[in-house]
Amino acid sequence: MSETKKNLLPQVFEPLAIVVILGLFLIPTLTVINLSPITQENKHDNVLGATSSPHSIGIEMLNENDEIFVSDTLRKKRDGEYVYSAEVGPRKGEKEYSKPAFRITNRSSSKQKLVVDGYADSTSPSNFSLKIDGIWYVLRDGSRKMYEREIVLESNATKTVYISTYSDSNILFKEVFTVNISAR
Amino acid sequence: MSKLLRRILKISIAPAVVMIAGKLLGIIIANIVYKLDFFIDNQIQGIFSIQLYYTDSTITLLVNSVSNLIMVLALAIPTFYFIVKTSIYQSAFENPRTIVKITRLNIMNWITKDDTSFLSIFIWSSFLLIASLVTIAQVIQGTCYGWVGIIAGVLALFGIWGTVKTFEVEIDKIYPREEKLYR
Repeated sequence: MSETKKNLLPQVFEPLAIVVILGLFLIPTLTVINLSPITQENKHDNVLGATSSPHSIGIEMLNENDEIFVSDTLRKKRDGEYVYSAEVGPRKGEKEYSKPAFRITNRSSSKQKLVVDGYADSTSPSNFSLKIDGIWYVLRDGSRKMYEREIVLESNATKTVYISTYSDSNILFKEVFTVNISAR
Repeated sequence: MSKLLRRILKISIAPAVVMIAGKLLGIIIANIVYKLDFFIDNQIQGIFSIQLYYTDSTITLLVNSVSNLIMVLALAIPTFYFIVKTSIYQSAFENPRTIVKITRLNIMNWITKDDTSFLSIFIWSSFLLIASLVTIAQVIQGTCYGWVGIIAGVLALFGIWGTVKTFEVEIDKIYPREEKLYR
C-alpha cells in the first residue's frame, strides 16, 4: 500500500512541473508586453475620481444693460462648449454699437484655444464681431459671410469679450445673433 | 518528478528573470538618459491592470525601442557565450590547434569543464526567440523602430543556428559520424 503511495507522488508533481515550466515562459512574455509603454492623454481626475473640466475654461455673463443688445443669454451645451446669444435692436447705419458681453477665464496652467463662430437669424447686411483687447474677431461680415475664429488664452488669463455690430444702412428690425464658443 | 523536468525548471528561471529585468532596465535607462516624464494608469478593462504610458507617441516609440533592444541584448549575450563556449570546448576536444590558440589567448578556463549543456543553450535560445518575436510584432504594430526589429531578428536566427549546431555536436557524441571514426 505504501509502495503505491510512493509511486504516485511523481505522477502528481510532473503535470504541475510542466505547468510551472509553461508559466516560466508565459509570465515573462506577458510581463514584457505589459511593460511596453503606450501613448495616451492624461486623465483629469481629482483625488475623488470626479472628472473636472479638461479645458478649465470659465465663461461668465456680464449682464450689462444696453439699448441695442438686449436679452442676452449664455448656455452651456456641454463641457467646454457654450452658446451666447443676444437680441440686437433697430439701429442707425454707419455707426458701431458694442457692449461687454461676457468674461472668459483660463483656469489651467497651460494655454487654451477657443474657437468661436456666429450667425444671425436675419438677412440684413450687418457686421457682427467680438472684440478682445482691441482685436476684432469678425464673425459675420456685410455680405453675410460667416467666419470661424481662434482665440488663444494664456494660462490664468481673464479677458472681457465685447460684442459689436456695424452696418452701412439703418437696421429697422430686431435680429438675434448667436455665438458658439468651444474650447479645443 | 523526472530529472529532465527538474533541470528545465532550474535552467529556465535565469533567462526568465533576465528577460523581465532587461526590459525594465531599458525603460529606466531611457527615462534617465532622456529625462522623460512617465505616467502609470490603472486599467479596469483588459488583461493588465497597470499600464505605463507617455503623452507623446515619439517618446513611447523611443522608450519601447530602447527597452526592447536592451532586453534582446541581455538575452543574446549569455546565449552566444554558451554557444561559443560549447563550440570551443568541442573543437579543443577534437583539434589540438584550438588548444594552442586558446592557450595563446589565455582563455583556458573557458574549456576546463563542460558545464554548459545543450538544454541550457536550447532554453536561452527559446527565450531569445520569444523576445525577438515580441520585438518584431511591435515593429509591425509601429511601436518600435525597424532597425531594432532587424537586430532582434538577426540575433534570433544566429541563436537558432547555434542551437542546431550544438545539437549536432551532442548527437555526434552519441552517434559519431563514420568519417570521424575512420579517419
